Amino acid sequence: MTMLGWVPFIQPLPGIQSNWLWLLPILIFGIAMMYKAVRVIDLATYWREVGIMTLQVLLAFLGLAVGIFILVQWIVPVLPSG
Amino acid sequence: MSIGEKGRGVRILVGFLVLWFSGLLIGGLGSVRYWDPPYTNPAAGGKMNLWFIAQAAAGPIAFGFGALDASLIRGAEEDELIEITMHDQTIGTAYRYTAIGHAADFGTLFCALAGLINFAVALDAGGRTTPDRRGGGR
Repeated sequence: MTMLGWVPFIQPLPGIQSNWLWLLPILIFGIAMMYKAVRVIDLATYWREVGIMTLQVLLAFLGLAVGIFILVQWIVPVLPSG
Repeated sequence: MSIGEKGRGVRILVGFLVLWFSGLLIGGLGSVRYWDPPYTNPAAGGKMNLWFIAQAAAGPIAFGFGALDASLIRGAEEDELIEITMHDQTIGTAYRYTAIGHAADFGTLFCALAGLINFAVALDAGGRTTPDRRGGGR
């Protein structure tokens, strides 16, 4: 319902504060589109390369998130204090 | 001037537009802002927004949208302003549609990255003479 009164490009997109993580794939996809347009040798494989790079970066973010979760939730609590 | 790589150029342009207009869609026009309105920082605003340095690398489109944003805020009608408490505890006004939180962060970031990568692409186009200098599938 909040979308009904939204004026695109003038007002900020509603609901971003609680759903900001969904912006990450779009951001990475845009970066991959520009990056692969420069780097890829054969343009016939362009979209495949863009998809692979997007997935790779997303998986890297996921790995970092898991690593930091383990560090903060499991390792830090068992460290001796003081 | 052309280096004869129209296919790449079109793809770069599409990628740039995806990032740029996604940023504007997420954060509104305030995503591209070259000056800080008075309510955004304790120094009473009027200072340059450092994110605009990256966004400016996008070229005239950045200055155009920046000017549009500035004119929208400066020329805002009474009903487009809301009362807020300023940093010095006085009562001031802010533009009703100013993005805050993650909408402001990501809108600014999308446009800044579009500008930065555009700059990197321009450097690449100026530095390359043959396609075989590309680094394979990296």
